Amino acid sequence: MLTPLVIVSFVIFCFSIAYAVSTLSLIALSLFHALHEKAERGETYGLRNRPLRPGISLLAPAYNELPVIVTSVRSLLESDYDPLEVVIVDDGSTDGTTEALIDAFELVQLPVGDRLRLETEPIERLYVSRSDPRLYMARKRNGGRPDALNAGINLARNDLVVMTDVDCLFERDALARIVEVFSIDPEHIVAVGGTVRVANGSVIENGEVVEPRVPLGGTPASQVAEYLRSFFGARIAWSALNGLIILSGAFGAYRRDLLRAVGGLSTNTLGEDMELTMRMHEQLRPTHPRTRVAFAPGAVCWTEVPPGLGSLHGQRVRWHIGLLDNLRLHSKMIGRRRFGAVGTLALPYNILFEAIAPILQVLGYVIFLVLALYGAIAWQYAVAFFALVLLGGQLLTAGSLLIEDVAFGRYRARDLAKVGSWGLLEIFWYQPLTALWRIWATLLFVTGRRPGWGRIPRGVALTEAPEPLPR
Amino acid sequence: MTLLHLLGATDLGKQAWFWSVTVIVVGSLFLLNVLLIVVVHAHHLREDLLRRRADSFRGRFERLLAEQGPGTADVSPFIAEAKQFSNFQRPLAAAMLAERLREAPLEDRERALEWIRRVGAIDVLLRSTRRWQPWRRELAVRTLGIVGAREAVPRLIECLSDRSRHVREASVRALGRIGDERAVPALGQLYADPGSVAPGVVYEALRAFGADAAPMFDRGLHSADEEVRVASVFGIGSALAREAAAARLDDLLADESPLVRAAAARVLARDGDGSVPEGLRHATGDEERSVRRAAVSALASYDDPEALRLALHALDDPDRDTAVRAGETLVRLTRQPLVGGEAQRAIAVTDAWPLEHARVLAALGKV
Repeated sequence: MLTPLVIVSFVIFCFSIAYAVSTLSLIALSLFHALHEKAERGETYGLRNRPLRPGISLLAPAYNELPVIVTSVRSLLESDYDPLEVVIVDDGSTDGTTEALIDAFELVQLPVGDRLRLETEPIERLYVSRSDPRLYMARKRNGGRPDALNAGINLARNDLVVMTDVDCLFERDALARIVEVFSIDPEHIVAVGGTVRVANGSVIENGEVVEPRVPLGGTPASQVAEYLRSFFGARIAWSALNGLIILSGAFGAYRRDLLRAVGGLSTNTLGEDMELTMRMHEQLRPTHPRTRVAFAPGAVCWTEVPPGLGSLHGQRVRWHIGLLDNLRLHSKMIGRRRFGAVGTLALPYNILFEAIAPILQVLGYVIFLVLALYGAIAWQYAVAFFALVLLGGQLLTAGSLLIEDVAFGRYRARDLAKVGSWGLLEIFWYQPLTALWRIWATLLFVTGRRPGWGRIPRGVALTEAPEPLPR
Repeated sequence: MTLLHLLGATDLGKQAWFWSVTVIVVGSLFLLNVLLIVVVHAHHLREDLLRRRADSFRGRFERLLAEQGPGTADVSPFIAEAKQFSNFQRPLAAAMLAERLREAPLEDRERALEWIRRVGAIDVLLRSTRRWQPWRRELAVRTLGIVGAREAVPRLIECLSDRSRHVREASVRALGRIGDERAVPALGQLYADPGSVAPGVVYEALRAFGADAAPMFDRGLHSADEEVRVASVFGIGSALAREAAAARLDDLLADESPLVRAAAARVLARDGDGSVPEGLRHATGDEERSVRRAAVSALASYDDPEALRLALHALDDPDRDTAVRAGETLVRLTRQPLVGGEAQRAIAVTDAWPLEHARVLAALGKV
């Protein structure tokens, strides 16, 4: 009776080795690129006098953000990039967010006007600031984050649109660094993502992270490790392979013409950021094979992550449903060479190691319990398996920390040690918990207890060549 | 042997081969982990140490510059001290000097250059342009450009073909900043044959040569490369007199590339004044939104009733941004001496929202 369980556990063992090898390869590639970039990195502000330096419209949706809105908007306006406009889209707040902004920034009403290209809930009022005319605010009927961002895309006047959240704290040079990546290949780069770092525990003054710190608590500290693995351990490599399928919703820059052409963000999926990036690949790459979605690791914004397990649970369930949704919606790219590394590497990787892995992980725990109940555990095997998973996982964390320290060096030694220690303990609590949440999300997804499939916007303009951004 | 035999049911761990493989894999992973942790912490400690040394040196160099630097009468004590700088301190000093002199007046830069020569730093910088680390080469090139070391021009020209993009771009900027005419042919060649450096960067450098660069921009207008044409449009705008530039740019409003047409319209906005050129009139009805936007904005520079008519027409453009710009153009036209009164009367009887939009922005000083 136990033999099938043993076979399954052997499959899980092999799967774990495949996962470790794939992820370590990504880390190695990321490390190579980060070191190369560090050795190469020269003056990053060469864009200052370019004849057609693209303007940026920074879009931030807000819904009931009264306690933080004024400080957050001040922080967004601190960027040294020029030309810049900041568009706050109040998505029907009921807590006085609009009024707080009107008072703090002396907002003056503008006509909303017509000829808005993307369909959204109606924009009720549009304002511009008297004290800082780079600031606009649109007040609209509630329609959710993607709908608010689409309204912002309609109003944006600059060539590049950066989507973020109001509680994100940008480093002063973050936007210039994003534009620098666009300028490397303006003809083919359609979107660039920045790094999102965990602000919990850091010293923040005037909306700026002045002393980055790693929090003491296990939940946020484990997320620091997770973010470092995700951004430095994986995205640098995926960007190098041109297989990036997600730009963080907290910091993603897109060409405005393309955003409008592909129909903006989907309002019917939980992973609208990933959906947009994948849709760009799907719609552009067949006709424009050299289309690139890139990553700018040096462009940083800081954000507060869920400090406790309760809020983390909700976030992770949403993320995982979003992932499954997008894998389903864009399944036609899977294994197709015309979509480059997205079709042949990134999607298979995400199916195996993001969608299926939690199922096998939880199955592994169940098998372990069953075998333990029957007193049939081969302890040598179990210990070997455990050591493999523990050391493999720790290697990923250590590799990401190496990239962080060598290429960016934001944290003190004791912070690196904190991340390393919590990374080591993850296997005992954080990983099983997140795996269980993912299983729960998979169940919700399969049983349809989630937002409807809905309509995904299909662009009309992709028969016309995207306009290259000027260098 | 079947898989089950191989697995030996629950006795997998007792198989010798399995245990050997496992020991090797787990052992390697363990060693790699230890190695990585050691590397991370060793690197961190080293960086910490270097940062402290750098901070301490910066403070010392700052004091030295203030007390005995190029501005003082007798710089020999300073020179004596500067000659003692170590390999670690030299790039720091170079970076600080570069930062200090970046926006400094020519006189200060010349004085600093003289001082740098006496210290022997130019030779050190020239040697640094051959270092293996690209950032060191880039820093040396940038510093040579900022201090305006003419003797470095031949080496900087060689650096135009450096294997690092950053070094190549820094060399282009340095040559533009030094402004030595020996660099013009090399820069012209780079401009005509883009690829290793973005045309926009070479454009910046060439612009420093003023009218001497005009022939290159003129040739660039006919380049097959779209980016060269775009940069040349701006180059012509800066290198030639207004009438001469306007005549060339008018033709470019019919270029096949929308980027070039939009660039031409933007430069015409800078060079306006007279009557609306024929090309610009057509551009306000261009099929590309980006061209229409630029052309409609450019109309504001022309004190011509035709500009007013075209702007009023553009209020109904199907593109929202073009309509917004039309409103802004109309508000700007009210400030023109000839057409201003007519523009005010036209605005008074128009209730299009882009006009109201522009009026609010004008009241805030944005238009």
